[in-house]
Amino acid sequence: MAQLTRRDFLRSTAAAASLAGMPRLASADEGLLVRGAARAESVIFIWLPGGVAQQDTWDWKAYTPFEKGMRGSQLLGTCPSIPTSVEGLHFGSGLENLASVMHRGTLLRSLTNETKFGAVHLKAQYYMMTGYLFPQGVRAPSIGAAIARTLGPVNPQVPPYIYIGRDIDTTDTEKQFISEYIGPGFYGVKHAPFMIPDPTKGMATLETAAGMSAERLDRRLALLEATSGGSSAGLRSSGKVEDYLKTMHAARAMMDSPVKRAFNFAKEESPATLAAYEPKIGPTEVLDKSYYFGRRFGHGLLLARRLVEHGARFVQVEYQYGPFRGFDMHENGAARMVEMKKQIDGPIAQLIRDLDTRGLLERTLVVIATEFGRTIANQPKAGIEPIGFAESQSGEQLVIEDEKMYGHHGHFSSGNSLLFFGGGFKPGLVYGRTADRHPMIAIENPVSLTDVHATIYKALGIPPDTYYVTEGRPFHVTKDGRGKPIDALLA
Amino acid sequence: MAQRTRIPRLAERWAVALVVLMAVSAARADSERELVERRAASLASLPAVGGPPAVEGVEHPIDRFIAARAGSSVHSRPTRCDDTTFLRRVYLDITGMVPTVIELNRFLADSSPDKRTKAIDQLLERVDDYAAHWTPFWEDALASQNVNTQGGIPTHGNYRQWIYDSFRRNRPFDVMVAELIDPTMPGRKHADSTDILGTKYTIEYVRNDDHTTTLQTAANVAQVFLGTSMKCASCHDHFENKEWPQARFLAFAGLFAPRDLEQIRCEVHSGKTIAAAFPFPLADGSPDAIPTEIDARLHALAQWLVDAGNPRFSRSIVNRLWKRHLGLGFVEPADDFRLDLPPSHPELLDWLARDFVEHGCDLKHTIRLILTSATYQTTYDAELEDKFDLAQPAQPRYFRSPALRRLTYEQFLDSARLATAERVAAEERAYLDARSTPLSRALGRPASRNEIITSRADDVAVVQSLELLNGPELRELIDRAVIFEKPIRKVDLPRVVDRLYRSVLSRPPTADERRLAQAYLAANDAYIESVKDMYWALICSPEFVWVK
Repeated sequence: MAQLTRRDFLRSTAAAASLAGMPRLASADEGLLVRGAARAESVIFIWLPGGVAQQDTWDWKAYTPFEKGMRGSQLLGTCPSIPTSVEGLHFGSGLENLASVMHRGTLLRSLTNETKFGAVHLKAQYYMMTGYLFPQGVRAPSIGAAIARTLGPVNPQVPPYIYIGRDIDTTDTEKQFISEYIGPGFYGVKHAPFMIPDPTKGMATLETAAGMSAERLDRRLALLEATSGGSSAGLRSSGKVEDYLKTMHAARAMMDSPVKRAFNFAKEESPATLAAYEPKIGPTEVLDKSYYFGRRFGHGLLLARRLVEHGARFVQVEYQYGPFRGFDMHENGAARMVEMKKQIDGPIAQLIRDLDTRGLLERTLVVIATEFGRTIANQPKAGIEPIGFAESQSGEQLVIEDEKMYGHHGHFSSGNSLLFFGGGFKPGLVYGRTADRHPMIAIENPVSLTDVHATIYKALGIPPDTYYVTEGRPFHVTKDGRGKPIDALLA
Repeated sequence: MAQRTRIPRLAERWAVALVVLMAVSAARADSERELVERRAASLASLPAVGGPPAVEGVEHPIDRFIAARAGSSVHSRPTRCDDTTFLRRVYLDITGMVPTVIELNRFLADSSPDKRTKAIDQLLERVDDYAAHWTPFWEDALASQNVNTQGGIPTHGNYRQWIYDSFRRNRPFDVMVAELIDPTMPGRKHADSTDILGTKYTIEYVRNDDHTTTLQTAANVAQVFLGTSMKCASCHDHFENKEWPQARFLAFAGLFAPRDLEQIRCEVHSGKTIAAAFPFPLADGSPDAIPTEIDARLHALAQWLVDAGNPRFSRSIVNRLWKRHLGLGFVEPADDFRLDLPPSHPELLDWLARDFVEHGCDLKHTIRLILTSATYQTTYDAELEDKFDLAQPAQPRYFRSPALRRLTYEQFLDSARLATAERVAAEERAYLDARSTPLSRALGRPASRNEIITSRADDVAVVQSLELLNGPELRELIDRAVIFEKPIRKVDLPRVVDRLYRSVLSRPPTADERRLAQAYLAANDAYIESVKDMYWALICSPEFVWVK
């Protein structure tokens, strides 16, 4: 795919001046320079909401096996370590596949937040997705919508923002809230994600329903064109109306487009590849059988890879969040973490390997993120500390009597890790460090989310002060346009 | 509200409680009266605003203002829209739905010269439909939700019934706004409370649990009721609008809080406290003192906010009414009144605002005034249509044609249902359905009202077209149309075409359209399927999807 050239960029910014909806670059010249250095064209954002315990995964801490009556301060990690392909870097066991590709990755261990989110996952998720704290008084757009809107589609036939792995739930108000912060916010429905709830089930609106056929839809469109001539022809001189009719045809074209072809993975991929994207644990082997999604996540990553190959700009793949489900582990946290690692380790590593062997990793940025870290030593009862869950506790007061509470992970906003692969990030780099004892706060190179977002935007050539106007004021892609890229992370 | 009356630990606590209770209920009853009396007193003290200019052959005051501004324009004169266009427009604007075929035919058959005004008056009397149409707008604007918490986050509560009842009874707008803010107003909605992990939250429109929620509440009130965007000033001086240094906004926001607010600039505490103050002019000058007790503070704030001498309040709402019916406001963006963005028709805006207050802040009065004007009743003309471009805010607007307005999700669904099912019961209206479906999202209704919204984006998108083209919701709606309940014979097809046009597009088909449609239906032996195609094409046609 073509890199945006300086001239393309100039043209697009010139056009921006006349169109209210286009991005404004607060400092256009600087913007050009940044874009010139951009490596990434597409993003696959692997979103693991719930709060992944960093001590048991990418920011491994000493393994302290359960002993009845042990102190919280003595409990540092619940699994042994394994080496990775980066010298001196260890992961928690169960991530052997991911460990083997880490020389292609960049690990950031020192994300910290001034705001302590306490018990409230949704506020932390909203923050990670939008870069703004809830409530904003404005429907804040997600990073996917901002990137897709600013850069537009790579391939005009493929929606620039695609979201895989989340239900379109119609009634649950918590899920409705989530739909807002992964959405386009005030950008409007034009920038809404193309939702693919379950990649293993295809997409209903891309297939004709019973009694419908492609020919009949074409007839309908022809009829729509014919009835929109005649006496309502006057309407068509409005640009909005003409756009609307064009978009109808674009939707029809989508039904035959690369998006649909991307779904043909079952036929087109080798059995070995398909197997590599499957979870390494079966539905009967998990503690919470009601929250097992089979191939949904893994094949979601495979679909994401295929969509990027077909020209998608930003694809987000979620391991669907549910309160006290999946990565939101409280009771039996140690045992559940083992299961969750079996679900994600193989597929993510395979995605990296696939992108790498296909030569796509340079222009595809893969991000792995969760809304906050965890503290392993925590009160068994949630939510009693006003500053959040043991953000500043050493765990000395806590006595762990019950094994269920071993690896009972509290929420921890003061330390969180992110992984990046490709897209111009520096491979093999480990950035930042957290304390080895509780509270495991960032003690070396602490960074803010605003700057992390700015770094992602920079990798894509988007200046952090890019903004869109709503209600008569600028709304920037990083908080108030103040994000500063962390250049050390970039190659 | 965080604070409650504390009952003293005395032997005669019951007696004390009784006295307090009596005093409180007296205060409550008085608050509304005080507001109405204050409105009259303020009006009496205000200087007169300019009346409509004399324009030969033009009677309606709105049209006189509009004509006076367009006088020098060389463009062609706007024409009056035809009856079918008019009827569809007023039905969608007042009831939120298209007319039924019977209503359409009755109107077309009526030959009385005042039938348009009669139709407007009759529709304004359809109080349930009128309220149903306004409810989702205000649910958006107040961030009203049908739950008290979402994933551990307290909401602003459920104002749906309060909005509906207020509009059904056509309550004075200033009284409504005061009821949202002032705890001593008798018509105030009872606030819920909720317990989240041991912390109690009061679930209501005014939230002042902490610094952030207080600022949000103040910014929401300023935006929605004063058309003044202050959010940008909540953590630093406003980037664009020099009228709003942060301290001025914090002084305003302090009126919502139990105590004056600390200045926190971009998360840095200054230790400096900003004294609460009301930042807009009032009919009787600046207030002498700011009450210190929270209920009294909110009471005073509500009275000042809606004061006739506060020009932003009445101008902001009449500007919204104008925008809602003509497609664009005198002030654009409608949420961003500021001194450096003058209105397109300042005299008309001032006059409408004063007229609104003089008529007791009666929304229906102003709506009726707008709808009965020739300006509202002009033909849509893409050439004459005004546009607003943020890059060129000073570009003049003339209102020689309405601006196209996209149907909201609720208007679309209720109208499509009415066109296919022939009736939509009050309890079936789309706004009552809290489900967030692919179609409702595609047509612009937010999945969750966790932030306030004063206008829905009306852009077109592929996801939206896919839902219309191939989604189950519209398909099922058409499959269930009453027309299919009885067998349709081939000889019925001409009548079916006529019926489809009248029910969906609120007009008879032209001769060309009749021919085209009949040819389409005759071309396929499975003509029932073709009738469904026809329904689909008309419901998805721009003429249905927009109000022209």
